[in-house]
Amino acid sequence: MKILGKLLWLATLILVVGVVYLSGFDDLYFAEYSRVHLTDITVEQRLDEAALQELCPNMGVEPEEYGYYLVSCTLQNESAVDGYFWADNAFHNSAETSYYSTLESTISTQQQTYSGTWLVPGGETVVARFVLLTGAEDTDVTASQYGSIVAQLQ
Amino acid sequence: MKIKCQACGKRYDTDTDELCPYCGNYNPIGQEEEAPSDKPSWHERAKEREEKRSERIARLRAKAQEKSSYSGEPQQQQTPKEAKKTGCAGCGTSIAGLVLWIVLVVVLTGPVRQLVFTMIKEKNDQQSTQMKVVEIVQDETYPVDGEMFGAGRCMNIPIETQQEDLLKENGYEVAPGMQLTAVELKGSIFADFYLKVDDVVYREVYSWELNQIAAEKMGLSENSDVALFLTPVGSQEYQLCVREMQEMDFASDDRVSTLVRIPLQVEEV
Repeated sequence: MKILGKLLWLATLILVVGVVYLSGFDDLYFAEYSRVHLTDITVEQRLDEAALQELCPNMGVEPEEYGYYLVSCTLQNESAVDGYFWADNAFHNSAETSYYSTLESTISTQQQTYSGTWLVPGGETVVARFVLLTGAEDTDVTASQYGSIVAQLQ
Repeated sequence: MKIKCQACGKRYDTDTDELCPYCGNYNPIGQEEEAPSDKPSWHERAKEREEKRSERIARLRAKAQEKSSYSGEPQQQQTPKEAKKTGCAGCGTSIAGLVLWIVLVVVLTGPVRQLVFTMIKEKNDQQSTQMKVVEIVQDETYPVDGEMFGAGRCMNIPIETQQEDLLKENGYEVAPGMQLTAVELKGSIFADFYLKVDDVVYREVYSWELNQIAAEKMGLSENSDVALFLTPVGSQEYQLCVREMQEMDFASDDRVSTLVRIPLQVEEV
């Protein structure tokens, strides 16, 4: 009985100490090892209604309220671990009063991993092309998370 | 007035003390000289109590000895000093002792844990930048995941109605100005690959019927393995990339241990 009690005591000690130790292990296990950088933004063209209908066939168009641009970004992954680029909410105007989003388009379908998410394979420099939805009056696009890269909206 | 206490039998002065100064008993005045009580005196009762107590202790000891002789434990007679000692040692296995031990172990070995975690992180950081890049030519093969892999012919196929319908049936949307790029695979078809066209990465489009059509258009046999990609018309640089992945220690991510690049010469239909 005495031995069993001691064993139970020891097991509890090991368990609790183990739990305390391993509680920080998650941060290590799920740490981000990929290093994806956005190095360039190129605004290819402002899309008119006809062009937009071709690229985004299921989308309603409101040119008075929004600006639609075909944009390409150069992304560099400096690590050997696959990384991702989340385009939604990565872009905004320089005053940071308006955040932009990407639209589901046929041009991006085969490049994206998920909607609005681009896989940047380990060790690669890739280009992501997508349709960016901005405010009708916005004149620039900025990505402050990636070192404030700015491009003018044409 | 001096009276004799009915409880302890000692005499005391009621003018000085209301209660018996020896035992604290109250003795009504005038009754102290009553007929001697049948009750035992204080001394007798105390003696009786002491005797009973000794008997009880002896009984308990005997019982304890009996118990320990059954369990085979050596019989030990503890002095009060020893009992005090073992009582304190028992604290080590109590709940308070457990908490104390946990705090002690966690606090004392905390820096070691931090050091181990830092070392693992540094090792993973180092590993995450190590990658072997190999470039081979078309028709050449290279070992990937223990199997040879390579790319043969590559051809751009315009999307006609039949192909478009098959793509739509398989859930692929076709943007204007896109074409199908077919790559003949040599060796393992289960490798992790993608097509890089003018720096844009394209994932494989899979349809068994389309693969058959592409193989036929390329003049390949039915058993040939073909990978299809939707790419923009007029692209310049085509490169098939295949990777060998490796698990990282204590990390959820895999890393690319080998990246094989195969620049492709593209034929047009």
